[in-house]
Amino acid sequence: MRIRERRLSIENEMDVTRAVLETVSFCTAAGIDRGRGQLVATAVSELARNIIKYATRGDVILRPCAGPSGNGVEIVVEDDGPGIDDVEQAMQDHFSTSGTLGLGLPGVKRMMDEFAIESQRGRGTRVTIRKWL
Amino acid sequence: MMDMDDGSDVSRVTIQSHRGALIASIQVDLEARVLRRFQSDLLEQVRSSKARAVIIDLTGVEVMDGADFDGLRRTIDMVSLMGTPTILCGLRPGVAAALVDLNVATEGLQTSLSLDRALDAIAAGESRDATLAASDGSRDQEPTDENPREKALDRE
Repeated sequence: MRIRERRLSIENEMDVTRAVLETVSFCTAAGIDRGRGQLVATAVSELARNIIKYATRGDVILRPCAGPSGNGVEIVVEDDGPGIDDVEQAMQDHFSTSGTLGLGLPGVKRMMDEFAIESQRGRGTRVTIRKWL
Repeated sequence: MMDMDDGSDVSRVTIQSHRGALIASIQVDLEARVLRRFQSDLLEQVRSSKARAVIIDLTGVEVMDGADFDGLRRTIDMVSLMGTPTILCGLRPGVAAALVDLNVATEGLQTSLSLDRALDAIAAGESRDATLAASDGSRDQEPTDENPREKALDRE
């Protein structure tokens, strides 16, 4: 598997669209089947939207990864925005501080094989997700 | 300087009239401006065409996130308020799986596997409508019910 790490800057809706498209082709190149690639791209869409909604700017990093039972893709979505006050609460379905959709985090977790979140108030948020082949 | 919000350079969703239905094929990313434009185009065409139903074909959609779906759902609800049912068709496996994982509100949505099946469902609904009207003996009373099929079933 010869795919290179990619870092995409997210500042506006067009960047989100681009990141979603890049994720689709990245997953294809990594050998992830179409349906699962769509899930990964949807997860990236949710997370990247959170950046422009709450943090003004951030990054999406796409990279190949290797685990004990094979290869996969790892995606890091990070920003230095306001952070999440109560991560545990944000991980519950239908919890939202603005609008009705919430951060989409529980959905992102369900769509992925692995999910990790670090957030510090005033420092930012970093979500790391993985999907295995 | 071009005003980016006047909508003139926004990619549009094509809406075609076919067999009494308005068919909208979503081939572009449903970013906010595209969705706003689609919404106003569709509502206006529902009014002017007096179509029996709207079909939104999602065959060309690779990724739909929660916000995309929410915008689409609002548009469908608006069309429904105007008295016209909508059928969503052609959801790809990954899109369907993502929407369920995202826990979006899919209640009350009518869906079909393909555009052909959606058209068949509308045609079947119409013939039941006609039967209903004939058995009522009141042809001048156009059924405006959102779901004529359900009404027809109730009478069986």
